[in-house]
Amino acid sequence: MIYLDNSATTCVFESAAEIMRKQMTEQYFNASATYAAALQNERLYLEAKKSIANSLKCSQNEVFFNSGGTEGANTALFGAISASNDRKHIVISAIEHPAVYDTALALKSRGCSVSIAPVNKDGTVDANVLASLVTSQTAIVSIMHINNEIGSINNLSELSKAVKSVNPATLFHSDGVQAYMHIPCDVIACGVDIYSVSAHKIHGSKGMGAMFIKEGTPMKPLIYGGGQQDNMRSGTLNMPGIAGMRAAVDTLSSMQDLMPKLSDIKNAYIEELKQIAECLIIGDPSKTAPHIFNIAFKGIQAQVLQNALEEQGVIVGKGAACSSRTNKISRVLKELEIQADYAAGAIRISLGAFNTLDEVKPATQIIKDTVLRLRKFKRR
Amino acid sequence: MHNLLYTNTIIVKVGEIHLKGQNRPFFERTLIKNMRAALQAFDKITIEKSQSRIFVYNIAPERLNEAVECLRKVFGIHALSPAREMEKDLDVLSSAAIEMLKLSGKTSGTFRVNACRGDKRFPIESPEIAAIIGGNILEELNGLKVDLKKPDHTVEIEIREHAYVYVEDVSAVGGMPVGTNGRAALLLSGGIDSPVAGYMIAKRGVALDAVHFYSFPHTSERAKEKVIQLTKLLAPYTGNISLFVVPFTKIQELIYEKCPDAMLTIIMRRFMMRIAEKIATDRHCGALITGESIGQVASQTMEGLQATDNAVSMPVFRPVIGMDKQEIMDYAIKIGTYETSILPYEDCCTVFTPRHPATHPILEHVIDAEQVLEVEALIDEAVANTERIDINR
Repeated sequence: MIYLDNSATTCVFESAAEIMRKQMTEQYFNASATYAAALQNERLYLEAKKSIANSLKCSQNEVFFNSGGTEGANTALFGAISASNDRKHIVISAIEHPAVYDTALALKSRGCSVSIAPVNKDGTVDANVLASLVTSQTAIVSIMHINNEIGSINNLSELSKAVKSVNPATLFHSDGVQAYMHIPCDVIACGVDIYSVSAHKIHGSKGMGAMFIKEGTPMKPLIYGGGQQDNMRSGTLNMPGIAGMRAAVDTLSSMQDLMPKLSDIKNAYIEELKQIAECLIIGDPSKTAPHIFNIAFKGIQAQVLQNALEEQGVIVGKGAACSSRTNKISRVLKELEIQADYAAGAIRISLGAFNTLDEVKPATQIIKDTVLRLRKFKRR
Repeated sequence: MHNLLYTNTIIVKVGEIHLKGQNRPFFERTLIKNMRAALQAFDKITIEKSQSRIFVYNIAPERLNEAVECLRKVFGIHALSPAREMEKDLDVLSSAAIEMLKLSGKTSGTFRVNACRGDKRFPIESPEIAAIIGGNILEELNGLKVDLKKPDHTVEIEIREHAYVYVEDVSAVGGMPVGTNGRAALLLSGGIDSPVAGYMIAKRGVALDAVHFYSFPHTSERAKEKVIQLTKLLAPYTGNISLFVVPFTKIQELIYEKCPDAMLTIIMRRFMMRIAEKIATDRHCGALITGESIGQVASQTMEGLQATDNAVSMPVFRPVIGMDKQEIMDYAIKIGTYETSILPYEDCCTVFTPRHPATHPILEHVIDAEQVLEVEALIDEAVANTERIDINR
């Protein structure tokens, strides 16, 4: 099988799976307990915070573990609104992941106002446009770092600067789920207050994630309980998840040449696939994420193509996996005004640490043949 | 007699079986077999026939409602009543009746007591039994008044080998016991209509097999999963169903490539019928069942149906033929298949639906048009590669 849907989820690294197994069956102690057996886990927890902090270039006490990107987005938006006194305005971009988009809509139904920043043709947010939406009432702005469907990269430092220049009290959150460990995520240089990441997109486990919350940021927790993690995120520490995430981060950190390699693989795929007639690479591949691209084939149903490719051992994404159970055309592609007969046939190819250049030839041959074969069947 | 003061029993009232003459024992035996299968998850229950009723004994009190729900789906049962079984003592019966009225919130309004003395050795006659127990109830429950003509609540007392009291009559699905009227093969698409059609024919006592045509990659694995799910939803009513999943992609693509656009659907339907008939014959089925409704889509005109029927010699049952879409939808909601039927997984198959289908196909033209295909060989190949999935009740 050639797995090309790493933006949906990734295969867990052996190093991560192994330490997770150990955490579950041997070192299963509650890290908050006071006996010696548990102390080892508390140490591991602190080391994990350090690893994540290093990867985000922030301080260790600014890292909080949670259940993943969706919780991160909910915490950021609900937490900022609860702590903002009477400021109830939220700004997001038009192509946010549902974790942000639908959370903003939920807050709207509870009395907040939401402004949606349009995106440029390349799927990025314009700093001036964003700044024009920020008001004295804006509590939080949430702009994704890398778009999950097309891989476009936002310039966070420029955007955060623009937001803060209008209202310094406005918090800036970025959904870093697709960016984390794929492009430099220096949260301080990016000027963000809150940054959410997920473990299962970087070869850690599902149900695991982390947030950067800049020291001194006025935030209320989303989840209350035993007061773990400085009261910011209660709940028994998910030690298997934490240990696995740390192992994944450490493994990826040691693979210095991985991102250039993924970039090369991505370009090799694009080189091959763009030979197919009537196809459209969405976004400028030289400016998009090293591991994601979206390609639309005219006159094809993405679902049928995905089915047919899977039958031949090639797994690709169609829209975003979180929303791909519906056959509607993606909100992101609609926003980018991609022609409907192309957008209906858009697939996403996303790479991970296990992909190789050797896969490109066989995979692209299968995709080419399948697209040509399926194109014979058009509604007449 | 049991050690307990009472035990839980369900009294089952049969429907149309009443009308049967010499065959009646066969219908009753089949019904009891089906009830046993529906209650297979219950330990230690016993089922006995007694005159016009069927009694289910030894149901754990906490699972009484669950057992009632299982039996409500068994074709052949008209109604059922959760009852208490006890010794033949009118004081004991009275206190049980009072407790059951209280438990079911029937403590105000009007009531009557019906008594039926099956055991003629019992010394008190029915009207007197009713009067005594009715009097005891009136003394205890002040909110109730007697109304013999149109009561809000009815307390039923039956004196047989033991005594029974019940205050509720739960309606069930009716129909005939599955297995008393042969077997038929249902063409199950995954839409709203075909599960309803299968249900309706099974209700007449017909055991079902199901045939699904699978067009991967044009329809997805999830579409197949949905059909499996629909079969599972039908099985509590119909009993075990064997689902035959026929690989249909090659035939569909060949029809598309070689036959006139306007006839794509009608030729496809003819292939489906032929394949279903072949599987049905092998399974000793006596008929095919489809969810077609006259005029609903282009292939369901009279000429369309004639062209479809012509492909097979087996009778084709179309129980929803005269129903409106809304009526079929309401029916699907009632039997619990609607929510699954409307899942969106089969949207991709529209490429094979012509924009301008022939609504009044001429049979000879259709037969001519499909001559370009190796019909028999394609059918044999599809049947040979069919996957069988057994879905148990």
